[in-house]
Amino acid sequence: MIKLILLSQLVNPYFNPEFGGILYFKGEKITDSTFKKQELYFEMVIKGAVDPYFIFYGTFPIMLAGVELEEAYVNSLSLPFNLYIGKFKSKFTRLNSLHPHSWDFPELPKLYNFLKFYEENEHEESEEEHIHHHPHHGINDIGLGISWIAPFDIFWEPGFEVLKGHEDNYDNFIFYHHLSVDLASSFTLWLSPSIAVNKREIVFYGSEFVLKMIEPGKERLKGVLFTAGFFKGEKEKFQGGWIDLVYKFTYGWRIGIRTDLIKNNNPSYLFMLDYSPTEYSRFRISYNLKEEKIFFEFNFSVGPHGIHPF
Amino acid sequence: MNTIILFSVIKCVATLPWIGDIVKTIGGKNVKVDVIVHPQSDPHKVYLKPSMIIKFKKADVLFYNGLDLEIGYLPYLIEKSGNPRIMPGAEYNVDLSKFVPLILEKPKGKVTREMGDVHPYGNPHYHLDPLNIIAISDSLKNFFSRIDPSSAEYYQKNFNNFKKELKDSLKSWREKYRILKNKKFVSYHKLYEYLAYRFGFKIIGYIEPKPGIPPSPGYIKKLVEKIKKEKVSLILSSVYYDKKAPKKLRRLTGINYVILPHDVGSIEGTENYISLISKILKVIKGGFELD
Repeated sequence: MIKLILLSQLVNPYFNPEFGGILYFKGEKITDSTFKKQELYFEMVIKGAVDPYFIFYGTFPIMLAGVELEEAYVNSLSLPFNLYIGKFKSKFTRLNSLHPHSWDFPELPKLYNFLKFYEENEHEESEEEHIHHHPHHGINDIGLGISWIAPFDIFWEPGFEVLKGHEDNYDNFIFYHHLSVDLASSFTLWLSPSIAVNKREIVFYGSEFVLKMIEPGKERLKGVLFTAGFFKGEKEKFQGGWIDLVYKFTYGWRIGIRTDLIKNNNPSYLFMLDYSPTEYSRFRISYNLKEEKIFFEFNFSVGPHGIHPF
Repeated sequence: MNTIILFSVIKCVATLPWIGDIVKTIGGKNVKVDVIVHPQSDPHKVYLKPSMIIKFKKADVLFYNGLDLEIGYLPYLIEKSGNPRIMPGAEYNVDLSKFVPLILEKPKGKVTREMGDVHPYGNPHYHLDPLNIIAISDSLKNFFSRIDPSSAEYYQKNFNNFKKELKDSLKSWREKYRILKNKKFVSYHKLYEYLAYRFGFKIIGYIEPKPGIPPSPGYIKKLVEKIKKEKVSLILSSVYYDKKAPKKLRRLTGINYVILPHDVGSIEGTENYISLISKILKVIKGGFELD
């Protein structure tokens, strides 16, 4: 097959960038006490093609204390592989690449306290201060990533990322695979084995597993999302995982349970119930059984219609 | 733009099943079509699967409904595929709504989300008007003839055959379903407006108070009064909507409801576009003849 495509046909960037935003609030309280922690921000989202070759994505949470640069990167549009440069959330798990307002639970799994390259600044946050600081969520740093979608019938996307290390050296590497297969029209399986390396030393390795069950024609009413992850640390010794089960039981309503499993710790459980009147708003209450913590969250989005991601 | 491509087979990706059917009808043996949306899926609530990305990556041509119906997944799939042939504005990114002579309900004022999930460019379910489909297949014939001129005659022949078959069907449907004229219906979503326009029936109310918003008990009460006052013949729903509301309306008004197919393959007996329209009309007629 011979193909001739004129470059001039590609010169058609989208018009003006798209602007959107999400208002997110999270309040956390220990049973029988006042609010301990609160988080409120408006996350501004900007997306737009730079030229025929790059598309820009930026997310800037605006807090009472100011604006933060959570993600700002460009992604290639017409290379045979996918190149992303800037500050981005690592794609080593599906969960890590999601923004907090699209998580199914108010927090990341406990194991994420270990899934990092280095200790963040030893700045102890006072509890009231939380409202001014956007807490860091997972691996999110300055760097470069390359991934490639194999031309097979099964979805296979190997990739690697080079990320800024502690002392401004770009010596942190993540190698990952995204694998996915449709087991039936209503079952999709996703795996992402990955390994994190620093100076030729393995930091951690493991995999995330996602199984999504949505019956065609029942999208509005029912669905099951099973997510689990298991990781092992080599530099700092740890071993553990999480298992999330989220069940949509009727229009707009979901319940979920998370089990955190960390070796030498008792498992802990987090329960959640949320209600989304439309796909643009959501209210959620969650309860951590071990810590006796209650979380309240709300989430409102404006701007262009978002993507229903995998 | 007069790029000529020498194809062995033109690999097409289509979002919705009816698009796949029309592309196949015109392109015939020269095309291979992958459809990404399941026939029973709600076209407004399509969830992404990574397998869709592969189909986009491999495609020579992308065909889609447009008018923002696919806004929840199409931009992502195009970007993620990294396929320059189907990027917005590229020659092989084909928005079928551009060929449609009749778009209903183009909003006159400003559209906001207070109105629910209103499509800002007009009602996107234009495929249920057979005359729109004739216009689309005419444009598809021109499109295929341009990119693959050696088979231009073949595409012309496929188009002529299909046009004749659809026009003949339309004539016989108009005859057979004359009884639908000026009948009043309530439907779940603004899905059957183009069909109503073409066959002269009226949709006077909706189970959804606003597009994409489920009904409240108060709203149902008002709708019951409207159904009784306006002498509605039948309630029309689709395969992917909850049956609770239509059942409740039937109980409160005594008016029957039917579940209609919305796309090719969504129920049995809708294997292609012509049988889809035929089935919808038959189910509607059957629905109120039972009473």
